[in-house]
Amino acid sequence: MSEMLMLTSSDSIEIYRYEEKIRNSGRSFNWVLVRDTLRFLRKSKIRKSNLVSKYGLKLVTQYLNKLDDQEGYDTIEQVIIACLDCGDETNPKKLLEQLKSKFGKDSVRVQRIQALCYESNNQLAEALQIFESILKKYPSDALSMKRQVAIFKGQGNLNKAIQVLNAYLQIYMCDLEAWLELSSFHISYLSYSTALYCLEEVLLNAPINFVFYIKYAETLYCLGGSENYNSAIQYYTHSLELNSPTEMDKLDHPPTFLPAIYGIIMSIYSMCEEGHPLKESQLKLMEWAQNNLLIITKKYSSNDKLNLVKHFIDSTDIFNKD
Amino acid sequence: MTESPIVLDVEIRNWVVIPILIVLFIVSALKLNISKIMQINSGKPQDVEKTMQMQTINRVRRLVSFYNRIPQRSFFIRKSYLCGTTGSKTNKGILSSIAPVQEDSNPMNMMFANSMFTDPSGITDMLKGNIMHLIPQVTMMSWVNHFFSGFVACKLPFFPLTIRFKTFLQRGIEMGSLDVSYVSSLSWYFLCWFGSEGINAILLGDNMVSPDAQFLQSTIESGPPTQQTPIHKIYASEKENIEMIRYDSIMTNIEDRFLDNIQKKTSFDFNQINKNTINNNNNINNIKPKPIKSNLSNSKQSKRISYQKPSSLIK
Repeated sequence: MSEMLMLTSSDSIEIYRYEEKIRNSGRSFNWVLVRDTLRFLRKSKIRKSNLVSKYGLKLVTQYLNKLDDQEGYDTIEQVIIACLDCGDETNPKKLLEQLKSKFGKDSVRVQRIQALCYESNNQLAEALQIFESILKKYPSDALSMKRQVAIFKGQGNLNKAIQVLNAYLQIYMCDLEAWLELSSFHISYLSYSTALYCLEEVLLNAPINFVFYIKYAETLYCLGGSENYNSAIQYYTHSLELNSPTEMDKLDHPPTFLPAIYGIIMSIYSMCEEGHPLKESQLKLMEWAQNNLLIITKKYSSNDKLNLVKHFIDSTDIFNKD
Repeated sequence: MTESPIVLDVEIRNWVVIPILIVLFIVSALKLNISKIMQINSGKPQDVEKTMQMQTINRVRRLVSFYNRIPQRSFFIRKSYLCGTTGSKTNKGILSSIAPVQEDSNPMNMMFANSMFTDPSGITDMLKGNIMHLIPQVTMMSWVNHFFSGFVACKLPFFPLTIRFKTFLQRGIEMGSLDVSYVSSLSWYFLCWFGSEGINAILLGDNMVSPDAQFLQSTIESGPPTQQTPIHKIYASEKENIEMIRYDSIMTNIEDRFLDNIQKKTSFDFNQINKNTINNNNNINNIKPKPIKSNLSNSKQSKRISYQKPSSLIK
């Protein structure tokens, strides 16, 4: 998810254009175009495994000699990883052999790919062993640590995963995706206050991304207590500021701030339940949120959903109850 | 200028021109192999410490610029972690953890403190590379110069070159009247040396180190960029930056601000809203007027209104 959020819009437009061109080129295989696309993907670090495994595989199997040396092997690596993503196991093995014969078994990069292959083959112990040996040589190898975390997470060994991730964040403390991951681990242990710390770190790293504010507010809401509800409202509101509802009519897709609106309604309602005094502005906000929720639902969904939403608003209403 | 062409001895071709070529080729092949061995051996470990320091600086800068996004308490937690708590001796903070002693203790560091060679492994690597190139160069040159100087080694075919090439082609022979197309042995050596690189790349293709070595070496993210100013100075200045911050959250009165914005941009009428909500909640008939309604328009400051718990009201 976070990967998608990191994309700048110009990058995504660019890659969309590339994709269109490749699809439109029909049966003839335009290897220059594919090479450029893969090059762009490598540079922008976008993950399009389907595209890469489909077209890149043909590129490296049939047109490898047309690529220059360095790029050819980079491309092979890229294609192997994409194929592994897509659950293809035979092709990566062949390509890996190619890399092995070229660079020998001792190359760290080859070892990493080997470990990835093991992982996809569910030979987790071997993969872990390779990553550990790499880390012994290069103690700050980011990818190996991340993969270790992923393996432990896959095994359900969250304690261990948190441990490794902490070690990773000790070094790379500006990696917001890692913080996000750590926060999700802590959330699954229900230790919300620790998760909040991680999410604060995420906010510091991505201060204009409204999604993270919603996530932070949600965690605050989960923690409970009128104080936290209050700040949850504030963070929801700030996310609305960043993802402004005033331009709703200009959008060509349904609005993306509904979580914030639901969050505001729920937080204010819960605050009221706690018997905490509400500010006047919060009441106004509640009115606005309820109204806007109805407008959006009317505009974008069917009638039975509207009824559901109406019931929701009734059940969380703080105005008209007596 | 009509000169009778100089006849060059065949022995010169056999014992000077061709040997220089062969020796050059052998030396460059050796050089490649030796540098390959040396590069593999010099798998330098990454500098974890350095990476951490760079990341810390980055993190602190982010905190300084975006501190108002996080709650006050979280900000102070981070501040005490980075700058230490005032008055406490045990917690001095991360940013004070690096003492500025290294400079004075080591003369080498003093020397390189302000240059880009703060990383000692970088120096040795550079030295190694330089020596690898320099030693064969010097020995070969002195060899050629010692044995084969003082005569013309060969003649370039095709066309006469301009006089400017004289110093380039006839190094070691100071003779004004000699035609430019004659080449001295030292110049022949240079010509072969510059020209042989491409040929070597083809002939020694499999053993060519440079691209593969880069591939091998660039496996790991290269370390942080070399730092100009010593790290503890940056730390100190960042610490000052943090301590100067007077905490202020952008979340204060955010509701008012947001609603104002909405009102401005969409000319939202809040009286209108109330009607809408009333119409929608058609199952509730007795609507009591909202207590805040009266002073909605004039009071800007956040006024607290105590609300009763709805659930208690229902029963």
